[in-house]
Amino acid sequence: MKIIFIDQLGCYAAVLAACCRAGIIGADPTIREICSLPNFAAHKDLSVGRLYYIGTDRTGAQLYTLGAGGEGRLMSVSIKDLLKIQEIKEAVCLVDVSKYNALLTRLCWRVSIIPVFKPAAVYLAACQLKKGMSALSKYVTTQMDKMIKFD
Amino acid sequence: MRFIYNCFGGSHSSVTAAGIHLGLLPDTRVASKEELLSLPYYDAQVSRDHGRIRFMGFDESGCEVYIASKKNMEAGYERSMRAFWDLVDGNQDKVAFIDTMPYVNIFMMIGGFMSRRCGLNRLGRAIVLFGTRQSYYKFIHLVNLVKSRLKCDAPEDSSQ
Repeated sequence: MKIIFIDQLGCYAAVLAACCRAGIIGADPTIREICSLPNFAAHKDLSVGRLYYIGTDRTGAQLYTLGAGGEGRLMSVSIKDLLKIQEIKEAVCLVDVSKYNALLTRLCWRVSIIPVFKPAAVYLAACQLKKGMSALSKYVTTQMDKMIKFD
Repeated sequence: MRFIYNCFGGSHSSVTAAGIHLGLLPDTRVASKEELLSLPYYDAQVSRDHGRIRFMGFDESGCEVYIASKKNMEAGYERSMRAFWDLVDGNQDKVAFIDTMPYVNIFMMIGGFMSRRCGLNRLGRAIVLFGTRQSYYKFIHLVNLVKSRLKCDAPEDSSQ
């Protein structure tokens, strides 16, 4: 099984959600922990469509993150349709966590493109994401529970 | 091989190009308004359909032709889909994403917005039909390019 967490660039809330699922971080990580997560703020520009591998969860499911611009719902629909068209039987679970990237986080990733401001912007984004971490963690848990019940 | 024509709303330019590809529309003259309106999904998609990949038909080589809407994702749509495709299959030659947005003119944009977003169907449809007919030869050119550049691998059983 593959679980894909979708956000705008695939390297902010999606990384936190995937790492939370993988057990790399808990529901209340420190800012330093967030900044050191694999692929956190890994983007070099604002182009979307990049897929990042995060790891596996305790059930062996592979965890990925995907940047889908502001169109997480649209991408989820398209990906599900593509799976149907190509008759792929592999279980793929898509979780859109775009809404957990707050306005300040979105501003930070724009600023972080400028190399000089990158460390400060990444730190600020991590602070902002930490604030919403408990809600994100709860959302990921409930979405996964729903998915397991659905299967 | 599967061809997925994609544009903003999946209502006009992608449907027109797919129609030409499938032979539902003429490729030697500009299609009439009636011909365009008779196409499945032409000026028919609504916002909740965004992202859906709709089947339009089989072309003369047995390849499947689809349409999709991608809103403002531009090239990011194809990149995202290909990144995902790499993950589950890996064979990128099985599917071709064709962006029809470069051939969309201002009349198609205004007409499409009025018809699909504002609910002004009659006026919006008249404008979008005018715009589609204006760009029609560009869509023919696009389809000819697609057919000539992408090798179409027909399924074995369809050729029998």
